[in-house]
Amino acid sequence: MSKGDGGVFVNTTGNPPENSFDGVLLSLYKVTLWAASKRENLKGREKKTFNTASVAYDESTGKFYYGRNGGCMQDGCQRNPILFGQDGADGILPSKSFNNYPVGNCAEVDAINNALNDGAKLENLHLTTIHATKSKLGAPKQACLNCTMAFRGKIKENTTGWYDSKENL
Amino acid sequence: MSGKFENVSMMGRMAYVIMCVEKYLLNKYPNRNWKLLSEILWKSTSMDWAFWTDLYSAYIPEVVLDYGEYSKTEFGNCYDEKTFQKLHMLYEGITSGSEDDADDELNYLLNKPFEMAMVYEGTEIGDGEESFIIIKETERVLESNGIILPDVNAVSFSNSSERNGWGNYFDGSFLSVILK
Repeated sequence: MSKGDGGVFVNTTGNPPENSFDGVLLSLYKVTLWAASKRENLKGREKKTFNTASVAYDESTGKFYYGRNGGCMQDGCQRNPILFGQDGADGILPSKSFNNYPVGNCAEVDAINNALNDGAKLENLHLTTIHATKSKLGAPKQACLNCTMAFRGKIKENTTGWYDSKENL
Repeated sequence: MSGKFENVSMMGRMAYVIMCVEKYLLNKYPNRNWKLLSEILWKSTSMDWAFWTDLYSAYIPEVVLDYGEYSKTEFGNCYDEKTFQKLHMLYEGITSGSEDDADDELNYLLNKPFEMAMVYEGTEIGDGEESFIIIKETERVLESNGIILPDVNAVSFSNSSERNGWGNYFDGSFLSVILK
């Protein structure tokens, strides 16, 4: 879905922001801009169904990787084996969905898939996810149970929160 | 409001919204054949919502009417040109497919099942407040037209204790007043 765009910070060649708070704000800002631009360029059903955008920030390179809901379900998506498995070996995504959407449908998966395909490591990724609908564009969005099961404890942080109904885990 | 639906799963809430939509269609436009639309609406209770929203988006007036001519790229994996023309005829004169316009009542109402399927995509249901708002907005359209609301008890079998609140899949067509 997207290529990393390193070196975007002032006075850096791709280093992480000075502190975590700056990083969260920057990620929110960048993913909101990305989603707004994406909305502008979509039409019809693709626009109608675009409701979530996510960005994975690689702290080791300063690169940002974007994703949208359904991104990894589209034809042409190169599904990374770390997430989706390969040759009979399981990936880290759950084998069965815990909600009404297929495993791998989430914007978080698309963003992390793009990062991994570019050589990023899970432990260096900071994830930020927003609503991408017209009415809620930019509002933070908590992860679903599928993503929480897959990524919690494996990536550096999820700035917009994990699924927190502990009794369901 | 939430009290009526807090023990009803998301699948059940979806079924209730569709029942509202059907009652509206039959009361307001009794001479049109809504079977085509109803069949797609009721698929929602028995299929994955990412695939269902992708399918149903091809039936919503604002998307259909945005295209003067059939586009195979846009609609090819949902229906053929004949169905596209049927939808145009179905909506003719009763909706302009105006996005986010509450005055375009039909388009507004047909968006409610879509919103219900999208509201918690990629996140958690939590207290379900957003879904209750969608139901309230749907009910308000019926009330403003003097249409009696469907019986909530008809969907209470789909309990929020199922599948983390999502509810088990079921064939909801038995709840339809159009398909029977």
